[in-house]
Amino acid sequence: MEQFLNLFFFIDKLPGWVLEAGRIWGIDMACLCALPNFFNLILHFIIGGIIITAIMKQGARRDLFFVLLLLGIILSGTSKFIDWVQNMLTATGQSVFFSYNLDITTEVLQFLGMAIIFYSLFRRFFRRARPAQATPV
Amino acid sequence: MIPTPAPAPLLNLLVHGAVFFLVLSTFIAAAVVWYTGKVKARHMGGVWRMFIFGLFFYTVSEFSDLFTPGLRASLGMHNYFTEFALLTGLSLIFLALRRMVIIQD
Repeated sequence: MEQFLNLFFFIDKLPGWVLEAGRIWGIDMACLCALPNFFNLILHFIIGGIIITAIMKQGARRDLFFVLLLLGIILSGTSKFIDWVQNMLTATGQSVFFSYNLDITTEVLQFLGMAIIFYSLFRRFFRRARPAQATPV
Repeated sequence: MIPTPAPAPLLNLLVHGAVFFLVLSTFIAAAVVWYTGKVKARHMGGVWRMFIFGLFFYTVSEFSDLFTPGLRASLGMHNYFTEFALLTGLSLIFLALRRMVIIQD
């Protein structure tokens, strides 16, 4: 079982001198494992910025589609932030950090965020489709 | 360093499962919409395919994430796999989303 788990925890596969070399240059290999989380967080900031720009430029404040999208992105982004914090606490601490309550919070926020995004997307798609088919050209 | 696997609380498993099934059902719904040709009629075939592809990666990531409460951690290769699949999926979904917004407005 230990060997099986080692496949999932690449940090234990690394030779000690690699970890030490990383520390000399200020790069903690364990911190590196939290890097994808960080990029996910950045991605949420980017798409959130795009939506806010669209709202500001197009004056789409009254459009529920953009509001729902933004709400979904905020909830999903918050979940990613908590996820990142958990991984960073492990990476920078002496032992593995894991909280069942934080895990539930992360997943619930992600569920709500993605559900809102998918709902708004499908709602927009099907609502726009109907008048286009009904209108004679 | 490596936590020994333990039976996770039911609530954690349920919430993780709920996210997985949400993404899986959306993936299936999006695939059905694409298969019925509704997106082709609106000249959104390429964008929708990108959306479906993103949902596929997201589903794979959430499947991997189902094991996180049991492992009591998300670090190392498990974290890499889960988060990179999620990153790929979300990138495609958000890219498709942006293009859809442009096409529709």
